[in-house]
Amino acid sequence: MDYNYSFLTDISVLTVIATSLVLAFYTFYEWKTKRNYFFVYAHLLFLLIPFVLFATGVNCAMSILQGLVQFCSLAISKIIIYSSPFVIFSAFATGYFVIPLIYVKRFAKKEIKNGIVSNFNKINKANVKLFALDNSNPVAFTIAKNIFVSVGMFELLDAKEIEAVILHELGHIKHKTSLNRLSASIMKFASPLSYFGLSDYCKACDEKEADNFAISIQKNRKYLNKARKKVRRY
Amino acid sequence: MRDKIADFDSLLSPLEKDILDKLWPDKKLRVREIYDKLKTKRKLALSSVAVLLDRLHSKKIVDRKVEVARGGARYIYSPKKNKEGFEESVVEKTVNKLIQNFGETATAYFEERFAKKRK
Repeated sequence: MDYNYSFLTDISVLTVIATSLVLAFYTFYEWKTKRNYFFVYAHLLFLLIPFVLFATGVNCAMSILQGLVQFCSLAISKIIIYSSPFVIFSAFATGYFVIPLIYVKRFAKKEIKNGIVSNFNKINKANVKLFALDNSNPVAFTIAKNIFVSVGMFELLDAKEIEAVILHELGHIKHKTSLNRLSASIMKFASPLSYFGLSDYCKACDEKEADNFAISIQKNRKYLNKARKKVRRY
Repeated sequence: MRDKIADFDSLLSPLEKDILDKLWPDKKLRVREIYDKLKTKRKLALSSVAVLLDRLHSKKIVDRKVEVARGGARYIYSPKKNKEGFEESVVEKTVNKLIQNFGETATAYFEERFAKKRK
């Protein structure tokens, strides 16, 4: 390795760094406006490029410290560089596959065969599953492609209101809410831009989208409103 | 003293008693079925019946299991003991609590009471 090499004077490297940073900012902006998980991973990839070039360039080109350091810490840079994508992938896999699997094994009482979910699966070529949660409180939520509705919720609401709740959860699946929220958490952890408070994820927007999906199928918002009212009063 | 007396009110509320009356003997009923039987006698909400059954379950007075059917899920409740068995356990708990809280006063009262009954 040439210790006199300075990446700061290499035009090609500087061009790549500048382009990557521009694209990183662009994908960050797109993520904020469209809340699409794709932009999170594109943003992290574009951030990684200047990071890789900067880390490898600086570590073995610090001529100022040539008298003070005995070795080139390129090995440490390589460890950080190669492990970054692995850490991000592991975080994603844990959040999207492992945790839902653990949750299903531990808490879901039984799978429910439901007409609304079957129709959704047919139309969208999906594999959504509905599980009963052994809980007397009225709760319903989605993790990845698994919908959990507590027995308490089934007891409290009538057929149309339950349909509204399940459709609301299907709305979350259709708009990939789980994936977007998981990606937002990874973004917050991995991107320096998130520390400027710019990546506040709009959870209320997710809820509105899911509500709109339920209303579009039932052609009426009264069942969803009634369900919400009953749950609040519980 | 006030706290000790208040403990005894927590055994069963009137509605809890009515619910248990519907479950005895050895019946297995859903929340809605119990609600339908009770609503003729008094004004109440389905959620109240659900909450009380949940409370009875946490007090280990009733059992429940999840039944999955017709695209949904329900709890099926059944009493853990028959009426006589339940009454026995209530008396046992009450007497033990009295003796624990009031000691000699309670035992002296019981002795006096049994003595009067024997006469």
